[in-house]
Amino acid sequence: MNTTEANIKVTRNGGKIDSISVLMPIWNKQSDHGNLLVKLPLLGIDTIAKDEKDAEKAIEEAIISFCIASEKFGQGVEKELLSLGWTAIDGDTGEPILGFTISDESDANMMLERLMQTGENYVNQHLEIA
Amino acid sequence: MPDNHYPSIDIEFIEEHVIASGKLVKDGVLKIGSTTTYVVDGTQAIYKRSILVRELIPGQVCFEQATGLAFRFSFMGALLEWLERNRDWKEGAYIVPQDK
Repeated sequence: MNTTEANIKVTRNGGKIDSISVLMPIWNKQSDHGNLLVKLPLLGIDTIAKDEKDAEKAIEEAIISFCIASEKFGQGVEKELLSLGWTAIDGDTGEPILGFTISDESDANMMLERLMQTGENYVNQHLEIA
Repeated sequence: MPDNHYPSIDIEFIEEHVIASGKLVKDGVLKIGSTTTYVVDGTQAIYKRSILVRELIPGQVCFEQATGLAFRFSFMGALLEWLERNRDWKEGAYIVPQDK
């Protein structure tokens, strides 16, 4: 059985990215120096924040930066997500969504599944990009 | 100040060296709120070509992120010099004035 643990929906306006809707796990960890280390492993991003509240802002900034960098200097958000291991799936109403899916029972995926379950879920239905 | 308090580094200094490395893509400095992303030129995936820092104190980059950038963009020597000159910090500790 396939379980989608994370998804991103990109909304474009005339080809230009407008906003995205995000659901994905993140991890926070207190550093030795009093900062909060914030990991967005499915985007390959590590950032830092002052505290839990600031972490929300740090995550938003990191996601927006990833989207803009992907559009401006890369091959676009969708293709850049594919290269991070995301896959294209169909949403409930048939709209294109990118998901991070754990599909079989290999050891690597079991590990990933445990990691997914221990992470905090970050949800943002509408994050303005431009 | 306890020794586990690492010094922070001016982002201007960091940025000057990152840009001077010549490794960035044109206009590859992206600022969103307190986050600055540096994007390296090349054809690899974006996640492999971008490295970000976040200013928890305006204008300052923390020690860990600064040294990460110094490794990636080869300016560790300049960073250590800067720390000694501007933060009285050398070889892993703050310089304590010697008794005469």
